[in-house]
Amino acid sequence: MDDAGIRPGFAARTFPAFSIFASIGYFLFMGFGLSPFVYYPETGDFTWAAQPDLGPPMFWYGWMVYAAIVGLAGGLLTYLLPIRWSLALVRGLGWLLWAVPTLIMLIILFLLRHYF
Amino acid sequence: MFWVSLLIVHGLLAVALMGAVTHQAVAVFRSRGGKAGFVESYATVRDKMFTNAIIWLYLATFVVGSWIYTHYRYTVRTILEDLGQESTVGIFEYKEHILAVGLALLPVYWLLWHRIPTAEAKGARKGVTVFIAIAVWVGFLGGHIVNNVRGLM
Repeated sequence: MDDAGIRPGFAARTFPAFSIFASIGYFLFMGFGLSPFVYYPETGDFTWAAQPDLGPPMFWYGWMVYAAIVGLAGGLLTYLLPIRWSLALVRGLGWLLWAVPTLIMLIILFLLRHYF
Repeated sequence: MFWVSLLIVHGLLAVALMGAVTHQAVAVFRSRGGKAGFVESYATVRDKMFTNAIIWLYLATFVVGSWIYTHYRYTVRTILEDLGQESTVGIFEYKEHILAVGLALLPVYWLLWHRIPTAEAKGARKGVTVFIAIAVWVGFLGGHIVNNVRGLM
């Protein structure tokens, strides 16, 4: 049987894609500085766009919201694929599950080099 | 005092998480049948049993840390920037990114330990577990460095 050993349920078909897409989404939105909202911890304000007079901004929560949306979309799209394709990330392409996040973190380290 | 108490809770959760995930990461690479010494005993645990505890500890530590982050952003970070401690700020930036990516991996981490037979996903399970362990260590050490730098100034 082609899919012997793996139960092709919802989790097996969506979770791997969610994790990969969310990681890539986080990286891209962080890299391009795109956030759906900005939080200002000093005043407790949420705004759609940056407001310099409200103190130090936080974009991090927005990046994670975007990452979650991208991850959900990627997971659901993968669920629509034929079972053989949607299980590829836990079978032959399983190495991508750790290689992609590792590559992302190496690139982020490079992007942050100006701090060091 | 509130933020200090929260930071201590965050630290205690992080210690528990680090212990659990390190145990699992070592166990996933263990070679069976070695001498029953300390290393073999440390590695010979029921590694699958750690998974749910690691996920809940990660989430709890992350939520508390995300709350403390708001205070850090407009107090500690601005002081560090004023004092030219750019590398310390950079370490914290890296910590926030690796922990966010680690958070994204939790669903597949759970899947690999609970729904996929070992023979099917041995390499992926090892890789994802080690990535999460490294993220937790980076987070712990990064947080400690920031805390210690501030304390020493």
